[in-house]
Amino acid sequence: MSAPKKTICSVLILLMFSLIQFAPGFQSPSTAQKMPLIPELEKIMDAKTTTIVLLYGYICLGCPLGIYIYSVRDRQDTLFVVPSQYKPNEVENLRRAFSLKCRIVKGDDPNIEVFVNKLGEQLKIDKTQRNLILEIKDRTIVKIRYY
Amino acid sequence: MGKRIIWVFWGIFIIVLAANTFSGKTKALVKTKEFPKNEPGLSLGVITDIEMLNRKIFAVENNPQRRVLVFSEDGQYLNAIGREGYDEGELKFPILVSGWDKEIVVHGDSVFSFFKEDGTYLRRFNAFIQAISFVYVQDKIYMVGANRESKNLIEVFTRDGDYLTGFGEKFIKIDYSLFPKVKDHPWGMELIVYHGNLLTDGENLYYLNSMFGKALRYSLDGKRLVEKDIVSLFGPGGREVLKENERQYIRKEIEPSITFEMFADAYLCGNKIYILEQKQPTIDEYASGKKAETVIKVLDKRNFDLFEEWKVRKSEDESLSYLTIEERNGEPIFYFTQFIKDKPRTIVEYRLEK
Repeated sequence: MSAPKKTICSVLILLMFSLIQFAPGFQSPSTAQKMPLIPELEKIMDAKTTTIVLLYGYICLGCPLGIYIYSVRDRQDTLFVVPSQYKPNEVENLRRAFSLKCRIVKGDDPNIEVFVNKLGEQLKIDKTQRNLILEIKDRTIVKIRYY
Repeated sequence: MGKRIIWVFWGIFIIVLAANTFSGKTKALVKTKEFPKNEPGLSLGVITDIEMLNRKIFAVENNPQRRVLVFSEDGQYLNAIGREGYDEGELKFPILVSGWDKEIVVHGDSVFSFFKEDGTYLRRFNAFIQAISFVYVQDKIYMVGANRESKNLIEVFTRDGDYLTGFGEKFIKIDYSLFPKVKDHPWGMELIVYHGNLLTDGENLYYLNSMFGKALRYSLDGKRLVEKDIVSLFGPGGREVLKENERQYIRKEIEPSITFEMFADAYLCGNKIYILEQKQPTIDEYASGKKAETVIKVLDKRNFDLFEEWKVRKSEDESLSYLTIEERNGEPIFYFTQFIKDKPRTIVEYRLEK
């Protein structure tokens, strides 16, 4: 029988990311404090939006972020906001890869990025982790998670 | 007179038989070069892929540095492409490399980054699909990706990231109810079961699956031309790998643990596909003292028929993982990534023994 090959190291490295989800203590912390949404985000959300996903950090699909995105693929109450640097085809690639049914909006207003950075500083997370998930109730942020 | 003719006939027969026996089957590759050597400040880390383009060797270093190292065909270090980072021209987790014309494409974490050979950054795009293997040809990216949501085996993008099309049927049916741990994972089991090599000669695509032993040839516009079961090329070991992988990933008779592959890497050069196989002895062979050996299987690219098998003459502690090939004066010259425990990693050149 052929033995396990050194050549699958790349796959194993990538699988580490998928397995890391099961590691204890990896869950992102959350904040319980309520805070208002900025008008620029209020403007792009609609009545059914209950979650805003701000994809401003590094995107690793095999990591918990990828698993989260995949888990909300059928939800229409989620709004994805991506940085203005995203090309239109990348927005479509994101939608197609995950079969996302929700809206994906480019955050063209610079105040959105300012808001993300401010939130990131408050949460003491570096730029790569600024994939923020805001749970919204009555136009107020009731919970924040990040990946 | 009659007897003499019979003896002459037998003599010719034995000579022809001996020529066949000792020419085809005993061909071997021998090491002719090793690099980098005495290159100040340069030591190879973990190399995850290697590619030949315009007589240069491009080696993806994934750890500790994230970059592509460029060597001339005679082993001279030329330059590095990219560096660790998230911005344009930087690489976060490079794994794969492919070259076409005068551009080099590096892939990792679903992003394709394009560079000139000298390291000048050109562009990048995020496909949001992790490639298992990809080729850059005729200004397009063709990839076999770990994407559960797609029905296609191969996805096609322009070099600017526009999705063009997908084709090829996924031939492994996974019952995800058997795998609750990856039920919500965007890759699922795809990254494992479709592990293999996507190759091109500029006119066709060739996909060789190392887990279940399937080979497919497509035209660049997606027409399936050849489909072949290549398990038998790997003898009893191949059948054992197939059986084990079906137990783990199809029927889930046992918890997936160790991944077995029929071959380590494959490369297309000229009219041939070269497969790097780490051949392990069967239990009976092992009992009789036979040791593992590394071989190159030479296949006809048109139909995946086996031409020849060449032994790689290397030391027991030397492990070869990835290969790229250049044809010079009709002779293939092999470059492998080499690992020897407690020694610096290197790239080694092998040639057919004279």
